[in-house]
Amino acid sequence: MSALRVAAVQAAYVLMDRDATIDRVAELTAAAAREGAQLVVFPEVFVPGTPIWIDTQPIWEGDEDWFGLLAANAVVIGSPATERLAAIAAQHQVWLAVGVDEREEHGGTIYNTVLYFSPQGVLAGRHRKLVPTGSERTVWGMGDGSTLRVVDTGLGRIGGLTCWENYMPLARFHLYSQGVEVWIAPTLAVGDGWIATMQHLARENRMFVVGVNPVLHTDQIPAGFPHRERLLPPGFVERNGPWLEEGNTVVVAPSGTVLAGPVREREETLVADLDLTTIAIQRRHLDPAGHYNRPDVFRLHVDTSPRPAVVETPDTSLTQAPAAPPNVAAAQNGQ
Amino acid sequence: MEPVKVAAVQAAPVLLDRDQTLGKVVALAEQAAAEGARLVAFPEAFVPGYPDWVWRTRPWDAEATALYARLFDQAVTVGSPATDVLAETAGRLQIWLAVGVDERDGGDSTIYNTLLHFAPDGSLAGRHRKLMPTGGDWLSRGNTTIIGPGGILYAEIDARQARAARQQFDPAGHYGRSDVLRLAVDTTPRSAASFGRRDEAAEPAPHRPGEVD
Repeated sequence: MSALRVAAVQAAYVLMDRDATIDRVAELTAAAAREGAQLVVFPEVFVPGTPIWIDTQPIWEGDEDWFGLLAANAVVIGSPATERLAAIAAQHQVWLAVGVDEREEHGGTIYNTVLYFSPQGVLAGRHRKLVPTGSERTVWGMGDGSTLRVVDTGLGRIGGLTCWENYMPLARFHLYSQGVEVWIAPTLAVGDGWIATMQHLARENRMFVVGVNPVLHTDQIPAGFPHRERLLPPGFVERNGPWLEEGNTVVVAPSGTVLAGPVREREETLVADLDLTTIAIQRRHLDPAGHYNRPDVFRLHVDTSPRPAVVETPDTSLTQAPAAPPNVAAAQNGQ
Repeated sequence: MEPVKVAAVQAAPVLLDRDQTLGKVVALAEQAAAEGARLVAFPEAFVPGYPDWVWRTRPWDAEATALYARLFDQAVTVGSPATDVLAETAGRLQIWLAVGVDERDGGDSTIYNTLLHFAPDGSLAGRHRKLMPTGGDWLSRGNTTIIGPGGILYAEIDARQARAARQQFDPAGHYGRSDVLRLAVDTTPRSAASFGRRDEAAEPAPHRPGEVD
């Protein structure tokens, strides 16, 4: 049996504190590795956490200092923050998937990104969420089609989508067509409806699904958090309970059977052994990108090109040698 | 658009007997319409029933072949008296009527797993042939063994709620990314053969990739 041991880490971030949250990633990854985990998965935007004010306050109302913290603590790829995450993966010899609030080095826009680090300490994959949801659109930009790649770990093909992106059937199909075996779904979504979605996806592509949520209790908001008293409006806890993130972490088998979880209202790392040999056997029933597809009827076009805002075309007319006349070029090519 | 009452009928067909099963459809639709249902939906391959033996017999055994012959004989042809009965029922009861049938073309020997939609004006408003039969389905063409008594589930449906919910999520709208992901669908009808003079358009409907790309 070729089993992959996965650890789905349901934990609390240190709200809007990148370095302290990466300390938590280090400590929780070490604990998972001690249990033999080969793939360790953290929740959506775990570093440095969810900008929770977007759901507790009217948009853009008194959020200046909070957004400033988010921008300052966002993760830049190639910075010391990602070097630390890569080193954590290498130190513990695990595949590490972690959600981050990402921004470009000199950029003002935050992206909702999942990073995949290999046991060699290499950033092997990256996915920017394509569409933020509702109030999230006031803090996150949109990814392009260039970060929709399944990662071959050698232990299994892993990939996935973030939160409600999982409800985008065309994006799912694109990843299914790449042979994904272990679906990573970092999310903030709570409740039984989300668990049904995780089971549906497992059954739809006959794959393992790892849904990972954070938890955050109101007591876990750092004492010195700016305008802490304003973060939760009066009556918020009475209406919604003390859990700002209640958790919903779950591991599902290709049959749709829940292997572990869902765990709620506490920090816990779920560990499960995934027997990947069952996937091919299950797909004899249903293979949505194979025999249970109708490519003569449906064809998906995916634009996977990176879409930078600007493509510069340098003016080389002054520095380039004049082009040879066409007849000379043809003669040189033997035509 | 006002809320509408829908009826989902869970019932047993009279297996491999088209006319008796149609009689059940009419009786159950009348019952649902009397309860105020405006849309009455029946199960997959209800007329004349699901060929459940495909999961329990060896393919193409003599026994299975005999059952297939019976299914073929009792299958529903669109435009026949069987669909006239369904259309008349929808028109008389002023309901939308959705019924799964084992469908066959008048001319060929293949059975399709088809869903027919009849309108309150008695017309056949929609028809869907299942794209891909599942597993054992292949062996006849296209799970409806009712354990215990059947029944009709009723629900009040307000389409406005679905529209309001799409403020949060609309997969083919604001939560789509048509710049990245685009689905091309070939909607050309596909017949196995077409007939005509050589100097006329005797080719099958052309595949026009330009139209769907």
